[in-house]
Amino acid sequence: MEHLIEIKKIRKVFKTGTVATNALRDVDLTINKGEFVSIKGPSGSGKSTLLNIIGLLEDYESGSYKLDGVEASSLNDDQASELRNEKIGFIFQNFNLIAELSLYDNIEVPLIYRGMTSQERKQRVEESLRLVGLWGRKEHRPDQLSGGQRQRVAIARALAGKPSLILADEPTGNLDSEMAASVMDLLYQINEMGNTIVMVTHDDELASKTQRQIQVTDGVVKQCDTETELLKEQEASYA
Amino acid sequence: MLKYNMKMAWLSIRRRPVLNLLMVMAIGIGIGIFTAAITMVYQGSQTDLPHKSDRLFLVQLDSRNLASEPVDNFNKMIDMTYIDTVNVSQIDYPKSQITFGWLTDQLVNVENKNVMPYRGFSFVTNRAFFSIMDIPFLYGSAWSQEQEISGAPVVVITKARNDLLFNGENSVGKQIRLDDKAVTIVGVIDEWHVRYRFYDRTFMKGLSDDAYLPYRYALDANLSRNARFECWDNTSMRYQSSGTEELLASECGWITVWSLLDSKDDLAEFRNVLDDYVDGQRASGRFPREGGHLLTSLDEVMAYVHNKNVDYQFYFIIGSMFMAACIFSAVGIMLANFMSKTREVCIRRALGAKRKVLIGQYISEVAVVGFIGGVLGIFISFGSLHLMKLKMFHSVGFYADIADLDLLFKLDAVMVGTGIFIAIISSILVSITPILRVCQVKVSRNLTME
Repeated sequence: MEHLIEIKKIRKVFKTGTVATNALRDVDLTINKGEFVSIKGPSGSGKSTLLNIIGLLEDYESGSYKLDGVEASSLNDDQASELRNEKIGFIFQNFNLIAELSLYDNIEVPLIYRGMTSQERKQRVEESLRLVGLWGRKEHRPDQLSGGQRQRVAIARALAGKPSLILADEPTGNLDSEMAASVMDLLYQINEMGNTIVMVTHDDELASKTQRQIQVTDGVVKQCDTETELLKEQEASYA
Repeated sequence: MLKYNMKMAWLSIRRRPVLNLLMVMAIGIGIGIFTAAITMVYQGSQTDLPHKSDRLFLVQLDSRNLASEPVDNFNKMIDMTYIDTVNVSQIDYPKSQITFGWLTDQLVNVENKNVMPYRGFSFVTNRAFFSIMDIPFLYGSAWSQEQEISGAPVVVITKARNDLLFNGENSVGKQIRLDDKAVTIVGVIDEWHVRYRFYDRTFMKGLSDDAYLPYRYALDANLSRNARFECWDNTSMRYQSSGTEELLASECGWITVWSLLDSKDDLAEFRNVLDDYVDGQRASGRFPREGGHLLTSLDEVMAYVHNKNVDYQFYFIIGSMFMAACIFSAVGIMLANFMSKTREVCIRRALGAKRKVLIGQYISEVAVVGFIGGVLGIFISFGSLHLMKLKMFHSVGFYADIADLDLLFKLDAVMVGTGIFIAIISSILVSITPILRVCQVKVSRNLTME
């Protein structure tokens, strides 16, 4: 299998005054193209920091991170933005849609920064909104939608740029169970289309439905291929 | 990208109407007062007849006696005597056109009983005055050469007086009375105004003429003069308010003389012509002093006047201070505006916006706010200038024509452009720190916050 993400010996330290906190300790992680991986762990374990590093939103003290063969530490800010725009789609727990923009305009944002023509953008936005079933509401603003619909828009925005990787941070965290199931169905469907998805979640049931589960505990990553291994790791982390 | 930035700017303004309204008002008021001040400075520092002001010369001859004080600039120099005025205007030098004149005032009356008699100002001059000063005619023309020489009782009136006396109809051939003398109208001039009344050296603002009279007629009719009058033969002072042949032959100066040269390169040659004239007069016992003549271009005359005009410097300082205060208050408004965009900035950064692209986007947004503020400022400036014009109109007295003040308070395209440009630039300057600050925020921390 071809690697999309290759992380070796990544260390991340947060400093507050004189106090240093090791958020990630010598993390090694490899994710293949087309995988659907979940990252689990208690609050403060470092799972969101890991997701931010993968998303090129956070730098790190040492180690190596290659996204689709490109070494992240060699990129300046502009290059990182370009790579993020081209390769990564984000889905956040709180949707992070821009309130004053219509659904159409929200989905168009990453395409604008990629320098696509108006015609290309229109085609991509339409495809994405049709996929999530909201093309008919393209002129609506986010505050005119339910939570589940907003998350569908966020998914459409993440997909519009046809990225290699979709990073989802607690994508169902703000949704009721019915809405959450609907969003997860959509993610499975997207994964089946060949997209790589890395999802941070607290929900064991959702995590169990992904191809691989990763446990983060005190900044240390344990990769578990079976649910039994994961349960053992979880027990150890809460002990 | 510009189109997208403009769209985002408009949406953002709609999203935060109060903050943007405050910003627009702060900029608008600051720019309004500042633009009004710089308009007064700018218009007040302009010279009339700019296309010929470097070759239109005030001519002054110094025939004073040896005891008179030395003079080094036009403002302290005497006006011309009638003898020298006539002689200089008759010099055979085809590259120069000469005009001259002085102010008179009379009671103006017409047959129409509905028009009350009023005291009006007439400028006594020669027919070259109209062409040299680029005065347009609405009806008729200047008096003829024959009428000028013969002292015919004719007059050219202004459009404003024609409107008042004849309801704007063509009045050529009709008569008006100046005191007890009837004169026939040969021409009505169209709108013609100067910022400062330079041609008789009063430099008054808002003092318009009612009529123009041929000099020979004014002298023959012994019309009173309302001009500075200096004699260096004390016995001649008795001529101050009357005109006789003795006055015309006296060493009293009251006539302002101008020479329009074909080219400013002819100046040296014209000086030589005047030197020759002075030498000739000196041989006959006049011009006892050294030197003898002073030529000052209209540009130089007005530069001297502008330097003396401290009112406008005061307005400029007040306007600048007012704008600085408004811009200073706008900094706080902008900081609040952009700090409220932190989440949006982080979303856009996460979606791949480069920092410099976002900075450009937000600069476009404040440029739009600055433009709107600038437009508001132009309206405020327009109102302020109108109020200042009214104030000056009432302060200069009953004889003023408000149209004569228009040029001094005119908000022209240059000033409108300057005002809007300054509004945009100052909006960007006050916003650049908040924009840079918000574009530096840590993306990951702001996006994961609930």
